[in-house]
Amino acid sequence: MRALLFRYSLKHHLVHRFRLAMVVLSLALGVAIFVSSYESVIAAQDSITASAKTMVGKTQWQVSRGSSQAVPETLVGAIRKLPNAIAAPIVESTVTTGPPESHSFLLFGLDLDSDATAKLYGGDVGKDLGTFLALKFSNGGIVVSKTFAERHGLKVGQSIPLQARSSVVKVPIAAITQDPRISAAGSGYVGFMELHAAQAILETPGLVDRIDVSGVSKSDLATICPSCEVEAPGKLSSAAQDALGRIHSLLGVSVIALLVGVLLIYNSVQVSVLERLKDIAIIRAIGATRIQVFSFLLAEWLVIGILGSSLGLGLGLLLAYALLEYTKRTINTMLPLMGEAHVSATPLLLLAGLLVGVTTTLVAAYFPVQTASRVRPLEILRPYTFRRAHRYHVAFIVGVVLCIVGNFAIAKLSLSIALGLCVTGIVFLGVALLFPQIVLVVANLGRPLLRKLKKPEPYLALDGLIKTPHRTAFTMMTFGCALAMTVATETLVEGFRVTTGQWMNSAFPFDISVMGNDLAANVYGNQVLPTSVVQQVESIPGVQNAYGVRKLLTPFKGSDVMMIGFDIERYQAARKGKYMGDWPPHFSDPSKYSKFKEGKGIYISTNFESLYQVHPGDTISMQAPLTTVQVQVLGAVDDLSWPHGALIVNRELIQSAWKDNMVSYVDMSVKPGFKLAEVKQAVIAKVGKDRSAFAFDRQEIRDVTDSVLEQAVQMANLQAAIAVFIGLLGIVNAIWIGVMNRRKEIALWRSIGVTRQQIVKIILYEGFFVSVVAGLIGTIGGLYGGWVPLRSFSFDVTGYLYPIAVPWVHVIVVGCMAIVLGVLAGLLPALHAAKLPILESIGYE
Amino acid sequence: MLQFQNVTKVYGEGEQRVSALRGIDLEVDAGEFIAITGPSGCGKSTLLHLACGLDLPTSGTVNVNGRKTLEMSDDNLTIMRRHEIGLVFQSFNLIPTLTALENIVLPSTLEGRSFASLQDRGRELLKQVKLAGREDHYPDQLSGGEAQRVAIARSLIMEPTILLADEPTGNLDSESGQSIMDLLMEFGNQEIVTSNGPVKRTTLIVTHDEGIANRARRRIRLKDGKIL
Ligand SMILES: Nc1ncnc2c1ncn2[C@@H]1O[C@H](COP(=O)(O)OP(=O)(O)OP(=O)(O)O)[C@@H](O)[C@H]1O
Ligand SMILES: [Mg+2]
Repeated sequence: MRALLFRYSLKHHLVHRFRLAMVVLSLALGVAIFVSSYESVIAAQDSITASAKTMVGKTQWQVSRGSSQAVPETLVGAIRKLPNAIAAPIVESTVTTGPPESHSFLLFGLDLDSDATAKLYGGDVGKDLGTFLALKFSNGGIVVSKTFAERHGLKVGQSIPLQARSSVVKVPIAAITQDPRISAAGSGYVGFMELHAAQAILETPGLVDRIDVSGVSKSDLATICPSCEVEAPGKLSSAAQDALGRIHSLLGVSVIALLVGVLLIYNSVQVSVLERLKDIAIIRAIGATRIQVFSFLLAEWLVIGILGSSLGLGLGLLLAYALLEYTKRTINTMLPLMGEAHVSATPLLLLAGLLVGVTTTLVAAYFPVQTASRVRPLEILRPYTFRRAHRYHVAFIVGVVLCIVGNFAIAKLSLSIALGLCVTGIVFLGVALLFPQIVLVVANLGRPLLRKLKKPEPYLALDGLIKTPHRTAFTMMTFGCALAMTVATETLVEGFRVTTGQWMNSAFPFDISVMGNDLAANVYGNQVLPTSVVQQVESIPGVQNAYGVRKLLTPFKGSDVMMIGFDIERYQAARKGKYMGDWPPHFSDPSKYSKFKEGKGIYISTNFESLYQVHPGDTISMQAPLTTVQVQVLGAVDDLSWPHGALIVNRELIQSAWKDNMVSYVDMSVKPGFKLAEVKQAVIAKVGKDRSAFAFDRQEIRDVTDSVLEQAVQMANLQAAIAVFIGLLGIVNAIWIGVMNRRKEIALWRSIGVTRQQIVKIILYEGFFVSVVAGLIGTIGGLYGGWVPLRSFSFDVTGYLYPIAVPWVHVIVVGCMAIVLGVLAGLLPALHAAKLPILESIGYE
Repeated sequence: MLQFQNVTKVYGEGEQRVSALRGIDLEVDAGEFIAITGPSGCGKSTLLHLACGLDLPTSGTVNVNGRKTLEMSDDNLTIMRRHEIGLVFQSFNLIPTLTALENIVLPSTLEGRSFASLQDRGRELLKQVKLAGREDHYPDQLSGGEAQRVAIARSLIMEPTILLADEPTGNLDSESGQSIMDLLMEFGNQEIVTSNGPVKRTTLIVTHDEGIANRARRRIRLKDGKIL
């Protein structure tokens, strides 16, 4: 059979090649989105993991105290006493080059006094061991990667300014290593120093970040240092995990784009099958079995699926390059984690892309094809025209059930992200099932209204749409969902923006903040300033109050929480002057205030409360480098500083228990009558005299926060834009099909005196109606989507429950754009309809 | 060959209930050539549809080549139609996107045979229906009479033992109608070689045309779903 039936399919699709092209294109775009996000996520992940494995060599265990706390160097000696043990201490930190330009790089401090380093990493740096020996004799010099040297135009013998913790230090270049593997680590900007020289720069004498060990068992190490973590090499830091989590969320968006594609393909299959029902009936009547019909139709769409997916693979790889470059930039502004990452078309990726595309097509094609193969030949062969009653009651009921079940699951069960996405998909399907019936009902209500108009076009347009309620419904859904994607992300972002604004207003009673790193270049920078800067700043005329803040990460129940220490008395003084936000409200209670001041009580952030189930009144113990500190939780406050939770303490506690006398930034308020810009200048001049210092006012900090946020959603927006485009293709497709199927009717109108212009108007009205409804779906669906899945996922991950803020401007812009685009989408079919030859079309079967 | 035993057919329910056939008893032997006539709506088409298994009786039994259609699965009915029955419709029912030749060999390709291997057989049939040289024409490039001849050629490709035609000349002028009738008379009684030896083809033609009906050897008149 197959040969001729295939020929038949081929001919059919060649006749409708415009439609075929649109299906293939939209499928290709869907697959492209999927493949590109998948590929860029994988490549980014590989690159980040590779960075974590740079200095691994023969290491079996890495001994550390989490990524936020150092290990005393003395532990090395204890480990080396074990038989067969090889132990090499490592300092690893992000360091910024000093003024004028600041760029982050990864600095390793290596122990060159024992042969342990060479024994462990001989394989990694072996080729270049000579280069590293140069460190030994260079007296505090640095070996840099080739990429690094090229970036800064460095030569051996020159020196480079580095921002040490509290000042700028000039470090001579001892050698430049040509090893390509080193350039592949991190962002490619890597430097090596002798262990103690590195400790001096970082001002952490006697401390190392980890000890790499081989030749002993894990349990032996655990006995030597009970408070240490002993892990196999390659574990990602919590910041790296955070960054990875962000890019993973991209995959979710691509799944939605594919769902949009499913509806479009479903529509196309439906139409292409429906208009061939008579052919199919004939073929059935002359002896083709159901299975034969089913399989040739499905095979037809299989071929189309393969075609579209292959095209999509190509497009996706191209898009992946762009996305990856983008991901890299985004991540590296936070942490220099990603180096050379490559888009590689692995067989697995190609297979996955193909599989996803083909499955999507087959899923979409299954029901229409199944229906077609069940058609009773007799019903179609009867001379009178066959018209099926439009009844979608069953679909409606199933839809309602799916929506209820889906929403219940989202609201009542705490689902994993993957499961949550599936459930969202189910709700989506439920709405898709509801929609034909809704369209019917609404259209029937609208009819009499439109009939009252003096113009016939809107009425005729509605009539045209209603002839195929579920195609119309799905077209609206397709476009609407794409719009919803943009509204949903924007809703969340807006919520975040509003919350951040409120939080900043109430929590930060300052006009200017001065810090050691350039916030605009490196959000997670960890340069600090000495405490003396606080007094320095206060002595500047124009500065009213100043207080220091120390932020550092400290381990708590297996993750890194942020500890924020304030100079509490100065802070309170600053708030009295100007800002009377309600953060933190509980200081009004004098007994709590004195506990806080003494370092016996702390506040926790609300996300900390929900993440670790710690409540006001509880007593918790925290691990300081040398001691354990017991504190009482005085209260919980809204604080968005850190997704893993924040602790708010008096800075004196950090100074006494954490032995840290640095400040992360100094905030100050400006005396009335002084100009903000001038005071800022004076601050930079004074503080920046012997170190690098950057001052920002409130607005600038807001801008930085916003731009970080924007970068994070830009990728999602790019994908949403492609989905909107697919949705538009869906409209063009559906209206085009509508015109083709109503050729006879349109010709009849023309023959009884409807002008070409009127025909164009009618068809444009169809586009208008579709896009108005799609705009509504987009707004409602998007707000809902922002509300339920996105918000609850972010709650699960971060413990923040963002309020929902409706992004009105965005909604209005999207709505208007949707209508304009929708009407434009109708233009091509409209012009085609206007040009139909009357006589031939009347005779068209 | 074909037996109808007390066959009734009811369409619809309640108020829309129509009894299209009310107790048909009919015995058709191999090699017969029958014309079915009667006023519009008397159940002629229904009778043919029951005979080829496109539809099933409401009660009674229809026997085709010894099997009861009511007891057969859809697949078996389909395969029976493919092998044993040729169908010709009033409105030709050719597939518009296939050429004349492709339309003719379509049933045979359902058997898993390639188009190429069937071309000669198709051409020969085209010649027999006097359309040699029109292989590559599409249905819309053929006149009504020509299209119907293609449809007849298609109904013959599987060498069916039964040929059913529902007003095959209904859409044609009387001249083309006559030539279609000539063809049907010619093929309607052909001898076919089956696995059980040679059999004469049985043909049932539904028609309104008295002249055409008179050319049949046997004639069945229907009225209100009953044989007169
Ligand atoms: N699917 C159906 N549903 C309802 N009624 C039907 C159906 N098919 C046929 N009928 C009715 O059954 C009766 C017999 O129909 P049938 O088509 O067999 O008549 P006919 O003799 O072929 O008429 P004509 O000469 O006009 O073709 C008619 O009254 C018709 O309306
Ligand atoms: Mg009839």
